Amino acid sequence: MPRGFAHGNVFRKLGGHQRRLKLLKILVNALIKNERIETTFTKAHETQKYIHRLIDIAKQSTNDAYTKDMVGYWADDDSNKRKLFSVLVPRFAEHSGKYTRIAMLPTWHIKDIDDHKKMAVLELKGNPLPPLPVKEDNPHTLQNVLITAAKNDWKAAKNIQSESSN
Amino acid sequence: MPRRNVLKRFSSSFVQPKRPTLKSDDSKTSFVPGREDPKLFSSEYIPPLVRPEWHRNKLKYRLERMDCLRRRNVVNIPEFYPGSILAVTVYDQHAAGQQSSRFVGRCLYRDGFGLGCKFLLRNIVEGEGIEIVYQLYSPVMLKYEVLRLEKWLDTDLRYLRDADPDYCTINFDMPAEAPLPPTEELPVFKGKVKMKKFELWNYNYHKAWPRPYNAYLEEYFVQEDFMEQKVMQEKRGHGHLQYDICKHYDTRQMKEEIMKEMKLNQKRIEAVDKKIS
Repeated sequence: MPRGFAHGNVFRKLGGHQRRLKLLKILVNALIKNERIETTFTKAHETQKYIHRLIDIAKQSTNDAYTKDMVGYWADDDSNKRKLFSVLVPRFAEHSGKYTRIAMLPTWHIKDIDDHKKMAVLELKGNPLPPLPVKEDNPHTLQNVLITAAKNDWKAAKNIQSESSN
Repeated sequence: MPRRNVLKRFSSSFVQPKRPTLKSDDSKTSFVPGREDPKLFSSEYIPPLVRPEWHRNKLKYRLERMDCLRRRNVVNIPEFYPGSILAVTVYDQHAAGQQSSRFVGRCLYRDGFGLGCKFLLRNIVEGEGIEIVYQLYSPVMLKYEVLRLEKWLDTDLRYLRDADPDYCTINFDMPAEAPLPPTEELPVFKGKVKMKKFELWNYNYHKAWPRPYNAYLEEYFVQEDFMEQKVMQEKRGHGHLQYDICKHYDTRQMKEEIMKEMKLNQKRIEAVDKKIS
Protein backbone atom coordinates (compact mmCIF):
# COMPACT_ATOMS: atom_id res chain seq x y z
CA MET A 1 0.00 0.00 0.00
CA PRO A 2 1.25 3.51 -0.75
CA ARG A 3 1.83 5.83 2.16
CA GLY A 4 -1.30 7.52 3.37
CA PHE A 5 -3.55 5.15 1.44
CA ALA A 6 -6.36 5.42 3.98
CA HIS A 7 -6.16 9.22 3.84
CA GLY A 8 -6.84 9.58 0.17
CA ASN A 9 -3.32 9.34 -1.25
CA VAL A 10 -4.03 6.30 -3.34
CA PHE A 11 -1.30 6.70 -5.92
CA ARG A 12 2.44 6.32 -5.58
CA LYS A 13 4.60 9.15 -6.79
CA LEU A 14 7.31 7.19 -8.61
CA GLY A 15 9.43 10.24 -9.32
CA GLY A 16 6.96 12.84 -10.60
CA HIS A 17 3.93 12.88 -12.86
CA GLN A 18 5.70 12.69 -16.15
CA ARG A 19 8.15 9.97 -15.16
CA ARG A 20 5.40 8.04 -13.48
CA LEU A 21 3.25 7.94 -16.59
CA LYS A 22 6.25 7.03 -18.73
CA LEU A 23 7.14 4.11 -16.48
CA LEU A 24 3.58 2.87 -16.16
CA LYS A 25 3.10 3.03 -19.90
CA ILE A 26 6.11 0.78 -20.45
CA LEU A 27 4.88 -1.70 -17.86
CA VAL A 28 1.32 -1.76 -19.18
CA ASN A 29 2.55 -2.38 -22.70
CA ALA A 30 4.85 -5.13 -21.52
CA LEU A 31 2.02 -6.76 -19.62
CA ILE A 32 -0.31 -6.75 -22.59
CA LYS A 33 2.40 -8.16 -24.81
CA ASN A 34 3.79 -10.86 -22.51
CA GLU A 35 0.79 -11.46 -20.20
CA ARG A 36 3.17 -11.94 -17.28
CA ILE A 37 5.89 -9.61 -16.00
CA GLU A 38 8.29 -9.56 -13.09
CA THR A 39 8.89 -6.25 -11.30
CA THR A 40 9.05 -4.83 -7.83
CA PHE A 41 5.86 -5.04 -5.84
CA THR A 42 5.29 -1.29 -5.84
CA LYS A 43 5.41 -1.03 -9.61
CA ALA A 44 3.30 -4.14 -10.08
CA HIS A 45 0.66 -2.83 -7.69
CA GLU A 46 0.56 0.51 -9.47
CA THR A 47 0.31 -0.98 -12.97
CA GLN A 48 -2.47 -3.26 -11.79
CA LYS A 49 -4.80 -0.26 -11.32
CA TYR A 50 -3.98 1.13 -14.74
CA ILE A 51 -4.43 -2.12 -16.66
CA HIS A 52 -7.77 -2.65 -14.94
CA ARG A 53 -8.97 0.80 -15.89
CA LEU A 54 -7.64 0.42 -19.44
CA ILE A 55 -9.52 -2.84 -19.97
CA ASP A 56 -12.63 -1.27 -18.45
CA ILE A 57 -12.40 1.59 -20.94
CA ALA A 58 -11.82 -0.79 -23.84
CA LYS A 59 -14.81 -2.88 -22.78
CA GLN A 60 -17.22 0.04 -22.89
CA SER A 61 -17.07 0.92 -26.58
CA THR A 62 -14.63 1.16 -29.47
CA ASN A 63 -16.01 4.20 -31.29
CA ASP A 64 -15.89 6.68 -28.44
CA ALA A 65 -13.42 9.58 -28.80
CA TYR A 66 -12.34 9.20 -25.16
CA THR A 67 -11.53 5.51 -25.55
CA LYS A 68 -9.65 6.20 -28.76
CA ASP A 69 -7.49 8.83 -27.08
CA MET A 70 -6.76 6.82 -23.98
CA VAL A 71 -6.11 3.51 -25.71
CA GLY A 72 -3.98 5.34 -28.24
CA TYR A 73 -1.83 6.71 -25.45
CA TRP A 74 -1.58 3.67 -23.20
CA ALA A 75 -1.44 0.79 -25.69
CA ASP A 76 1.26 2.46 -27.70
CA ASP A 77 2.18 -0.42 -29.94
CA ASP A 78 -0.19 -1.18 -32.80
CA SER A 79 -0.16 -4.91 -32.14
CA ASN A 80 -0.90 -4.25 -28.46
CA LYS A 81 -3.89 -2.15 -29.42
CA ARG A 82 -5.23 -4.93 -31.61
CA LYS A 83 -4.60 -7.50 -28.90
CA LEU A 84 -6.44 -5.41 -26.34
CA PHE A 85 -9.61 -5.25 -28.40
CA SER A 86 -9.54 -8.65 -30.06
CA VAL A 87 -8.14 -10.86 -27.28
CA LEU A 88 -8.47 -9.24 -23.86
CA VAL A 89 -11.89 -7.64 -24.20
CA PRO A 90 -13.68 -10.89 -25.19
CA ARG A 91 -11.68 -12.78 -22.58
CA PHE A 92 -12.82 -10.50 -19.76
CA ALA A 93 -16.32 -9.87 -21.11
CA GLU A 94 -18.00 -11.54 -18.14
CA HIS A 95 -15.45 -10.58 -15.51
CA SER A 96 -15.96 -7.53 -13.35
CA GLY A 97 -13.04 -5.63 -11.92
CA LYS A 98 -10.09 -7.84 -11.21
CA TYR A 99 -8.38 -8.94 -14.39
CA THR A 100 -4.90 -9.50 -12.98
CA ARG A 101 -3.14 -11.36 -10.20
CA ILE A 102 -0.02 -10.52 -8.18
CA ALA A 103 2.19 -13.23 -6.72
CA MET A 104 5.12 -12.40 -4.45
CA LEU A 105 8.52 -13.82 -5.24
CA PRO A 106 10.87 -15.18 -2.55
CA THR A 107 13.47 -12.67 -1.40
CA TRP A 108 15.47 -14.72 1.12
CA HIS A 109 18.55 -14.51 -1.10
CA ILE A 110 18.57 -10.70 -1.01
CA LYS A 111 20.34 -9.34 2.05
CA ASP A 112 18.98 -5.83 2.59
CA ILE A 113 15.34 -6.25 1.93
CA ASP A 114 13.23 -3.13 1.76
CA ASP A 115 9.67 -2.50 0.82
CA HIS A 116 10.45 -1.33 -2.66
CA LYS A 117 12.78 -4.22 -3.28
CA LYS A 118 10.17 -6.90 -2.78
CA MET A 119 9.79 -8.61 -6.09
CA ALA A 120 6.49 -9.75 -7.50
CA VAL A 121 4.95 -11.29 -10.59
CA LEU A 122 2.03 -9.57 -12.27
CA GLU A 123 -0.02 -11.60 -14.71
CA LEU A 124 -3.28 -11.37 -16.61
CA LYS A 125 -5.86 -13.96 -15.66
CA GLY A 126 -6.61 -16.67 -18.17
CA ASN A 127 -3.20 -16.47 -19.82
CA PRO A 128 -1.88 -19.40 -21.90
CA LEU A 129 1.41 -19.61 -19.96
CA PRO A 130 2.09 -22.53 -17.58
CA PRO A 131 0.59 -21.75 -14.18
CA LEU A 132 2.66 -20.28 -11.36
CA PRO A 133 3.52 -22.62 -8.48
CA VAL A 134 1.39 -20.60 -6.10
CA LYS A 135 0.50 -22.36 -2.87
CA GLU A 136 -3.26 -22.72 -2.73
CA ASP A 137 -5.40 -23.28 0.34
CA ASN A 138 -6.21 -26.85 1.18
CA PRO A 139 -9.94 -27.20 0.37
CA HIS A 140 -10.38 -30.23 2.59
CA THR A 141 -9.76 -28.63 5.97
CA LEU A 142 -12.83 -28.32 8.16
CA GLN A 143 -12.89 -24.51 8.11
CA ASN A 144 -12.58 -24.26 4.33
CA VAL A 145 -15.30 -26.87 3.80
CA LEU A 146 -17.66 -24.93 6.05
CA ILE A 147 -16.82 -21.62 4.39
CA THR A 148 -17.46 -22.96 0.85
CA ALA A 149 -20.77 -24.48 1.98
CA ALA A 150 -21.85 -21.18 3.52
CA LYS A 151 -20.81 -19.32 0.35
CA ASN A 152 -22.87 -21.64 -1.84
CA ASP A 153 -25.90 -21.25 0.40
CA TRP A 154 -25.61 -17.47 0.27
CA LYS A 155 -25.28 -17.47 -3.51
CA ALA A 156 -28.29 -19.79 -3.91
CA ALA A 157 -30.44 -17.55 -1.72
CA LYS A 158 -29.38 -14.54 -3.79
CA ASN A 159 -30.22 -16.30 -7.05
CA ILE A 160 -33.70 -17.17 -5.80
CA GLN A 161 -34.27 -13.54 -4.78
CA SER A 162 -33.18 -12.18 -8.15
CA GLU A 163 -35.37 -14.67 -10.02
CA SER A 164 -38.42 -13.87 -7.93
CA SER A 165 -37.91 -10.13 -8.39
CA ASN A 166 -37.68 -10.56 -12.16
CA MET B 1 -30.00 44.86 -5.26
CA PRO B 2 -33.29 45.73 -6.96
CA ARG B 3 -33.18 48.55 -9.42
CA ARG B 4 -36.25 50.64 -10.08
CA ASN B 5 -37.24 51.91 -13.46
CA VAL B 6 -35.90 55.44 -13.59
CA LEU B 7 -37.77 56.33 -16.71
CA LYS B 8 -41.48 56.27 -16.15
CA ARG B 9 -44.14 56.75 -18.70
CA PHE B 10 -46.15 59.87 -17.87
CA SER B 11 -48.73 59.67 -20.61
CA SER B 12 -51.98 58.72 -19.00
CA SER B 13 -53.49 57.09 -22.05
CA PHE B 14 -50.77 54.52 -22.42
CA VAL B 15 -51.17 51.47 -20.26
CA GLN B 16 -48.21 49.17 -20.24
CA PRO B 17 -49.34 45.74 -21.32
CA LYS B 18 -48.84 43.09 -18.74
CA ARG B 19 -46.24 40.54 -19.62
CA PRO B 20 -47.79 37.08 -19.60
CA THR B 21 -46.30 34.77 -16.99
CA LEU B 22 -44.27 32.22 -18.81
CA LYS B 23 -44.72 28.70 -17.68
CA SER B 24 -43.24 25.54 -19.02
CA ASP B 25 -45.45 22.48 -18.98
CA ASP B 26 -43.81 19.85 -16.86
CA SER B 27 -45.15 16.97 -18.84
CA LYS B 28 -43.56 13.92 -17.32
CA THR B 29 -43.87 11.86 -20.43
CA SER B 30 -41.31 13.35 -22.74
CA PHE B 31 -37.86 14.53 -21.86
CA VAL B 32 -34.98 14.56 -24.29
CA PRO B 33 -32.23 12.20 -23.10
CA GLY B 34 -29.76 15.09 -22.85
CA ARG B 35 -31.86 17.06 -20.36
CA GLU B 36 -33.71 14.98 -17.83
CA ASP B 37 -36.37 15.96 -15.36
CA PRO B 38 -34.35 17.89 -12.74
CA LYS B 39 -36.18 16.09 -9.96
CA LEU B 40 -35.02 12.74 -11.27
CA PHE B 41 -31.53 13.61 -12.36
CA SER B 42 -29.40 16.60 -11.63
CA SER B 43 -25.66 17.07 -11.53
CA GLU B 44 -25.51 17.27 -7.73
CA TYR B 45 -26.94 13.75 -7.34
CA ILE B 46 -23.68 12.24 -8.54
CA PRO B 47 -21.71 11.12 -5.48
CA PRO B 48 -18.32 12.73 -4.87
CA LEU B 49 -15.10 11.01 -5.79
CA VAL B 50 -13.73 9.56 -2.55
CA ARG B 51 -10.71 7.31 -2.35
CA PRO B 52 -10.13 4.62 -1.22
CA GLU B 53 -13.44 3.24 -2.38
CA TRP B 54 -14.44 1.75 0.95
CA HIS B 55 -14.52 5.22 2.45
CA ARG B 56 -17.64 6.00 0.41
CA ASN B 57 -20.74 6.14 2.55
CA LYS B 58 -23.40 5.02 0.11
CA LEU B 59 -26.23 5.14 2.66
CA LYS B 60 -25.45 8.78 3.37
CA TYR B 61 -25.52 9.58 -0.35
CA ARG B 62 -28.93 7.93 -0.75
CA LEU B 63 -30.43 9.71 2.24
CA GLU B 64 -29.06 13.03 1.08
CA ARG B 65 -30.54 12.57 -2.40
CA MET B 66 -33.91 11.87 -0.75
CA ASP B 67 -33.63 15.14 1.21
CA CYS B 68 -32.83 16.97 -2.02
CA LEU B 69 -36.03 15.64 -3.53
CA ARG B 70 -38.03 16.72 -0.48
CA ARG B 71 -36.71 20.24 -0.89
CA ARG B 72 -37.41 20.19 -4.61
CA ASN B 73 -41.02 19.32 -3.90
CA VAL B 74 -41.33 22.55 -1.90
CA VAL B 75 -39.38 24.97 -4.09
CA ASN B 76 -39.35 24.81 -7.85
CA ILE B 77 -35.69 24.48 -8.83
CA PRO B 78 -35.52 24.61 -12.61
CA GLU B 79 -32.79 23.03 -14.66
CA PHE B 80 -29.86 25.29 -15.33
CA TYR B 81 -26.26 24.88 -16.28
CA PRO B 82 -23.07 26.88 -15.93
CA GLY B 83 -23.47 29.68 -18.43
CA SER B 84 -27.19 30.30 -18.07
CA ILE B 85 -28.53 33.56 -16.65
CA LEU B 86 -30.48 33.31 -13.40
CA ALA B 87 -32.49 35.57 -11.13
CA VAL B 88 -32.54 34.48 -7.50
CA THR B 89 -34.78 35.81 -4.74
CA VAL B 90 -33.43 35.38 -1.24
CA TYR B 91 -34.95 35.99 2.15
CA ASP B 92 -33.15 38.97 3.65
CA GLN B 93 -34.05 40.26 7.07
CA HIS B 94 -32.61 43.70 6.53
CA ALA B 95 -33.91 44.31 3.01
CA ALA B 96 -36.36 47.12 2.57
CA GLY B 97 -39.97 46.27 1.84
CA GLN B 98 -40.76 42.62 1.51
CA GLN B 99 -37.70 41.27 3.32
CA SER B 100 -36.31 39.74 0.19
CA SER B 101 -33.58 40.71 -2.22
CA ARG B 102 -33.17 39.74 -5.83
CA PHE B 103 -29.93 39.19 -7.67
CA VAL B 104 -29.37 38.54 -11.33
CA GLY B 105 -26.23 37.03 -12.79
CA ARG B 106 -24.61 34.48 -14.95
CA CYS B 107 -23.92 31.11 -13.35
CA LEU B 108 -20.20 30.38 -13.49
CA TYR B 109 -20.10 26.95 -11.87
CA ARG B 110 -22.12 24.39 -9.96
CA ASP B 111 -20.35 22.42 -7.33
CA GLY B 112 -20.88 20.11 -4.40
CA PHE B 113 -22.92 17.04 -3.67
CA GLY B 114 -26.49 16.84 -2.44
CA LEU B 115 -27.64 19.42 0.07
CA GLY B 116 -24.21 21.06 -0.05
CA CYS B 117 -24.67 22.01 -3.69
CA LYS B 118 -23.71 25.60 -4.43
CA PHE B 119 -23.48 27.81 -7.46
CA LEU B 120 -21.85 31.11 -8.27
CA LEU B 121 -23.62 34.06 -9.87
CA ARG B 122 -21.62 36.87 -11.38
CA ASN B 123 -22.77 40.24 -12.55
CA ILE B 124 -21.11 43.57 -13.23
CA VAL B 125 -23.01 46.43 -11.64
CA GLU B 126 -21.87 49.92 -12.54
CA GLY B 127 -18.45 48.69 -13.51
CA GLU B 128 -17.94 46.65 -10.36
CA GLY B 129 -17.85 42.90 -10.62
CA ILE B 130 -20.01 41.16 -8.05
CA GLU B 131 -20.04 37.45 -7.34
CA ILE B 132 -22.31 35.67 -4.88
CA VAL B 133 -22.21 31.99 -3.97
CA TYR B 134 -25.64 30.57 -3.19
CA GLN B 135 -26.46 27.24 -1.61
CA LEU B 136 -28.95 25.56 -3.92
CA TYR B 137 -30.95 23.80 -1.20
CA SER B 138 -30.71 26.51 1.42
CA PRO B 139 -34.04 27.37 3.12
CA VAL B 140 -33.24 31.03 2.48
CA MET B 141 -33.78 30.65 -1.25
CA LEU B 142 -37.30 31.73 -2.13
CA LYS B 143 -37.48 31.70 -5.89
CA TYR B 144 -35.46 30.71 -8.91
CA GLU B 145 -36.01 32.19 -12.36
CA VAL B 146 -34.09 31.13 -15.41
CA LEU B 147 -33.90 34.22 -17.59
CA ARG B 148 -31.91 32.56 -20.33
CA LEU B 149 -31.12 28.87 -20.49
CA GLU B 150 -27.66 28.27 -21.87
CA LYS B 151 -25.26 25.40 -21.79
CA TRP B 152 -21.60 25.85 -22.55
CA LEU B 153 -19.04 23.24 -23.37
CA ASP B 154 -17.08 24.13 -20.23
CA THR B 155 -18.48 23.44 -16.78
CA ASP B 156 -16.27 25.93 -14.97
CA LEU B 157 -16.54 29.41 -16.46
CA ARG B 158 -14.51 31.30 -13.90
CA TYR B 159 -12.30 32.55 -16.71
CA LEU B 160 -15.09 35.03 -17.45
CA ARG B 161 -13.57 37.14 -14.65
CA ASP B 162 -10.66 37.81 -16.97
CA ALA B 163 -12.75 38.01 -20.12
CA ASP B 164 -14.49 40.85 -21.84
CA PRO B 165 -16.93 42.36 -19.27
CA ASP B 166 -19.82 42.26 -21.74
CA TYR B 167 -20.47 38.61 -21.02
CA CYS B 168 -21.32 39.22 -17.37
CA THR B 169 -23.04 42.60 -17.53
CA ILE B 170 -26.70 41.76 -17.17
CA ASN B 171 -29.52 44.18 -16.67
CA PHE B 172 -31.56 43.56 -13.52
CA ASP B 173 -34.76 44.23 -15.43
CA MET B 174 -33.98 41.65 -18.05
CA PRO B 175 -37.17 39.83 -19.04
CA ALA B 176 -37.22 36.07 -19.01
CA GLU B 177 -36.96 34.40 -22.36
CA ALA B 178 -39.50 31.81 -23.36
CA PRO B 179 -38.50 28.51 -21.76
CA LEU B 180 -37.40 25.77 -24.10
CA PRO B 181 -39.80 22.84 -23.91
CA PRO B 182 -38.20 19.69 -22.45
CA THR B 183 -38.95 17.82 -25.65
CA GLU B 184 -36.40 19.89 -27.55
CA GLU B 185 -32.67 19.49 -27.38
CA LEU B 186 -30.69 22.30 -25.83
CA PRO B 187 -28.03 23.64 -28.21
CA VAL B 188 -24.59 23.80 -26.61
CA PHE B 189 -22.70 27.06 -26.92
CA LYS B 190 -19.54 26.35 -28.86
CA GLY B 191 -18.40 29.90 -29.57
CA LYS B 192 -15.29 31.56 -28.20
CA VAL B 193 -15.13 34.29 -25.60
CA LYS B 194 -12.74 37.20 -25.99
CA MET B 195 -10.27 37.33 -23.12
CA LYS B 196 -8.42 40.27 -21.62
CA LYS B 197 -4.71 40.71 -22.16
CA PHE B 198 -2.62 37.76 -21.06
CA GLU B 199 -0.71 39.85 -18.50
CA LEU B 200 -3.90 40.79 -16.67
CA TRP B 201 -5.04 37.24 -15.96
CA ASN B 202 -5.24 36.06 -12.38
CA TYR B 203 -4.74 32.44 -13.33
CA ASN B 204 -2.86 30.50 -16.00
CA TYR B 205 -5.87 29.24 -17.90
CA HIS B 206 -3.75 27.80 -20.67
CA LYS B 207 -2.09 25.41 -18.22
CA ALA B 208 -5.26 24.13 -16.59
CA TRP B 209 -6.81 20.79 -17.31
CA PRO B 210 -9.38 20.44 -18.75
CA ARG B 211 -8.35 23.44 -20.82
CA PRO B 212 -11.23 25.90 -21.28
CA TYR B 213 -12.78 25.43 -24.67
CA ASN B 214 -14.99 28.49 -24.84
CA ALA B 215 -12.15 30.89 -23.97
CA TYR B 216 -10.33 32.26 -26.99
CA LEU B 217 -6.81 31.50 -25.78
CA GLU B 218 -5.44 31.12 -29.30
CA GLU B 219 -5.29 34.89 -29.52
CA TYR B 220 -2.27 34.97 -27.21
CA PHE B 221 -0.72 31.56 -27.66
CA VAL B 222 0.55 29.75 -30.69
CA GLN B 223 -0.62 26.21 -31.22
CA GLU B 224 2.83 24.95 -30.27
CA ASP B 225 2.39 26.27 -26.74
CA PHE B 226 -0.42 23.81 -26.30
CA MET B 227 1.60 20.76 -27.25
CA GLU B 228 0.84 18.13 -24.65
CA GLN B 229 4.43 17.24 -24.00
CA LYS B 230 5.37 20.82 -23.33
CA VAL B 231 2.52 21.37 -20.91
CA MET B 232 3.29 18.08 -19.20
CA GLN B 233 6.90 19.03 -18.71
CA GLU B 234 6.07 22.24 -16.97
CA LYS B 235 5.89 21.80 -13.26
CA ARG B 236 2.76 23.77 -12.52
CA GLY B 237 0.69 22.54 -15.44
CA HIS B 238 -1.98 19.91 -15.08
CA GLY B 239 -1.39 18.41 -18.50
CA HIS B 240 -0.51 15.00 -17.12
CA LEU B 241 -4.08 14.58 -15.88
CA GLN B 242 -5.27 14.19 -19.44
CA TYR B 243 -3.91 10.66 -19.70
CA ASP B 244 -3.89 9.65 -16.04
CA ILE B 245 -6.89 7.35 -16.49
CA CYS B 246 -7.07 6.21 -12.88
CA LYS B 247 -7.58 9.79 -11.71
CA HIS B 248 -10.56 10.35 -14.01
CA TYR B 249 -14.06 10.01 -12.64
CA ASP B 250 -16.36 8.14 -14.97
CA THR B 251 -19.99 8.93 -14.16
CA ARG B 252 -21.64 7.77 -17.36
CA GLN B 253 -23.06 4.58 -15.91
CA MET B 254 -24.42 6.17 -12.72
CA LYS B 255 -27.14 8.14 -14.47
CA GLU B 256 -29.61 5.32 -14.98
CA GLU B 257 -29.19 3.94 -11.48
CA ILE B 258 -29.75 7.35 -9.93
CA MET B 259 -32.86 7.98 -12.04
CA LYS B 260 -34.29 4.64 -11.02
CA GLU B 261 -33.59 5.38 -7.39
CA MET B 262 -35.12 8.84 -7.52
CA LYS B 263 -38.31 7.52 -9.11
CA LEU B 264 -38.64 5.12 -6.18
CA ASN B 265 -37.89 7.95 -3.76
CA GLN B 266 -40.63 10.08 -5.25
CA LYS B 267 -43.13 7.26 -4.70
CA ARG B 268 -41.97 6.78 -1.12
CA ILE B 269 -42.34 10.45 -0.30
CA GLU B 270 -45.84 10.54 -1.79
CA ALA B 271 -46.86 7.49 0.23
CA VAL B 272 -45.60 9.05 3.46
CA ASP B 273 -47.36 12.33 2.71
CA LYS B 274 -50.64 10.48 2.15
CA LYS B 275 -50.34 8.72 5.48
CA ILE B 276 -49.75 11.97 7.34
CA SER B 277 -52.63 13.80 5.68
